[in-house]
Amino acid sequence: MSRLAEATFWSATIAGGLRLATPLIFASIGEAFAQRSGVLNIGLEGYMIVGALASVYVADPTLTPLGFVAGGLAGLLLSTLMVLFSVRLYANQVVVGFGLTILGVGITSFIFSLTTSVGGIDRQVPLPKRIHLPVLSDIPWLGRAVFLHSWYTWLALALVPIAWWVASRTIFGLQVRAVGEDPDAASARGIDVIKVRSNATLISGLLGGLGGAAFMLGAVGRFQPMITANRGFIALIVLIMANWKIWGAALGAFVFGFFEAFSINLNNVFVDVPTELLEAIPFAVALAILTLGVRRSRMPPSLGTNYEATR
Amino acid sequence: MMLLPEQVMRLDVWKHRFRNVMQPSSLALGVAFVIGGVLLLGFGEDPIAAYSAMLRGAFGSRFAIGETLARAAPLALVGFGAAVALRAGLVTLGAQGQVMTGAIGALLTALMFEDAPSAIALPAAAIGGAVFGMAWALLPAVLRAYWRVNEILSTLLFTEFAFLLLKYLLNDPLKPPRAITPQSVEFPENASLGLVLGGTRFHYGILIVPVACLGFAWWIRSTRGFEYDLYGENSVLAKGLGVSERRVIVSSLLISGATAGLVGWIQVAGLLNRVYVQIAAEIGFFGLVVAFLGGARPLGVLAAAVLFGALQSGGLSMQSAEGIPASLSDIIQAVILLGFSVRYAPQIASLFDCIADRMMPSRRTN
Repeated sequence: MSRLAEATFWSATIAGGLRLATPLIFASIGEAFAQRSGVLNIGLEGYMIVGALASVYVADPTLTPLGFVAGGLAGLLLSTLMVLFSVRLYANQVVVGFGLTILGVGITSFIFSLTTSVGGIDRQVPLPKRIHLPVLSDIPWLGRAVFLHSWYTWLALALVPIAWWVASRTIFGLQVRAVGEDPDAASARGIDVIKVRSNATLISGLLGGLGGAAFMLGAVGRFQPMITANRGFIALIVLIMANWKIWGAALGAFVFGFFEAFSINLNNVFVDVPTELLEAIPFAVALAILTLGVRRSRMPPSLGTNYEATR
Repeated sequence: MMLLPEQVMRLDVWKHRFRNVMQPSSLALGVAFVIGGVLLLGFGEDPIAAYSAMLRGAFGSRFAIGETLARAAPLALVGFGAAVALRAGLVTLGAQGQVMTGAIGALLTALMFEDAPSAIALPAAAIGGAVFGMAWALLPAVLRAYWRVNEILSTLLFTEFAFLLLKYLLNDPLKPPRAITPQSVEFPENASLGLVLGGTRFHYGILIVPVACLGFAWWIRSTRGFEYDLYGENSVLAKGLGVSERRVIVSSLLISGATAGLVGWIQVAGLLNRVYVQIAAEIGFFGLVVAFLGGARPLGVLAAAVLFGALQSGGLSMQSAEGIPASLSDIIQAVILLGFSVRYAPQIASLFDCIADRMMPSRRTN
């Protein structure tokens, strides 16, 4: 119990929370663009796992920045199918999303088993060093908690204001929101609904892939089939918890990551409590936030419905 | 033989339905196998050998057919339940977790009736499975009906909870004394389902599928089923006509929970004889896919389940015969789903008409 009163417990939990939140920040911000434009993009899990595989194969073993980019491109590639099937051919968004999840999981397992020797000890990348900032990282408690991260986490944190700026201060962001609010009205004002939705979906593919890559290169370091373990779906939950807001998505990702790190660290404190009970904490928190937040939540009105271009 | 006018009409309806389903599904199937073949060639494998191994593994022998049925049955059952919810406009991802709790429930009930005659223990275990599956659907259903909490996400979280519960039980309370890997004690003999065909895994639990199929067919023709369809199509209209929204949501999610719980029961009582961490495999997820593919209709779901069961058992036997990863079947299943998803897309529909017109100039479409 006394360990809970120690400052290092909490600094480690906050730092761990940010590390675990990193992939979720990428994925849920990307999803925010797609959903704000009206595209319910359930295939996020698929984008993340192809991003994870591509990143670790290209990075193998030292070209990590290149691997990171490759992960994003792999996610982007898979999301072109979402654009083709749902946005252009008007197929049901949920069905296509599930299809892309199965496709992503299947194709990565397929490639992995055919290219890896039994045991899978190759395809490993060294985990990144944490960047030591000149003054900030030396601040007694705060430095370890908030200012000592790998560059993936810094990149994710830098993405938040940029994404917010794009979403709320640019023409493209305005178009995305307009199309999600009322596609007919947006179309009447001369916005190409299909094009805006396609671009928003591609952004979510890119960022989903980057999220998978950040998970792989920044936290796990070694690919295995189904390694992303529903993180794509958790990013969906985070976005809805956040009421479809960019800053909220980043915050929600941190909350989830924080409680995940908390449950892992608690495991060392309460040795007698079943691990599984502690592991349930982040999911229980997510369920509570979903339930309590639903009253003030407002989803994009056209979410999930396809817009058929009239010719 | 002369047919009465109504009979001719009925026949036309069935012909139309058949054409509407067969054309896109055969096309999707063809495209899926071609894409799989290209992938295999790309990795230097022989597609012909792979596909023939897959076919042999799915239908090539008595054992293979039993294996296909044993894999199709849980998909079909979950599919029927998911279809009931889908028809009411609800997408539930909870089957995965409900299969786990259903298996636990069946095992716990069977352990309670360990000394009872089979005639009591066996149905008791089935009911235990269904009730535990239903119980796991209850909270998401209530949250959806009374607080409008998104059911896709809450059922997903409940699957996580079920998995953690299962892991806990199999690592400690239910684990047999000398077991190393997490697993439960054996399922009591007196509640077990026997084999229909010796030397295969075709067990009596699979016979529930045709019964459930008939039940589902009856359901969609019943007044209650019609109300649920109406709610799924147009909730405002349905509410205006006095259909209770809360009852539709809660009971359709509970029905899907119960069928998933039954799947947990047949898996442990007929197939595996113990509960394992992997008991649900990906049954819940693929069961929902099967419901989508089958258009949430009884025969459609059944056909899709048999197709996916065959692909999965064929894929596994291909893996052991040819060393090609069984995940090839996942890829094929995904492409089938994607191909099928565009079946109502206007461009594709007109494409079909063009092809059909070219092939059969005398054909009249109406």
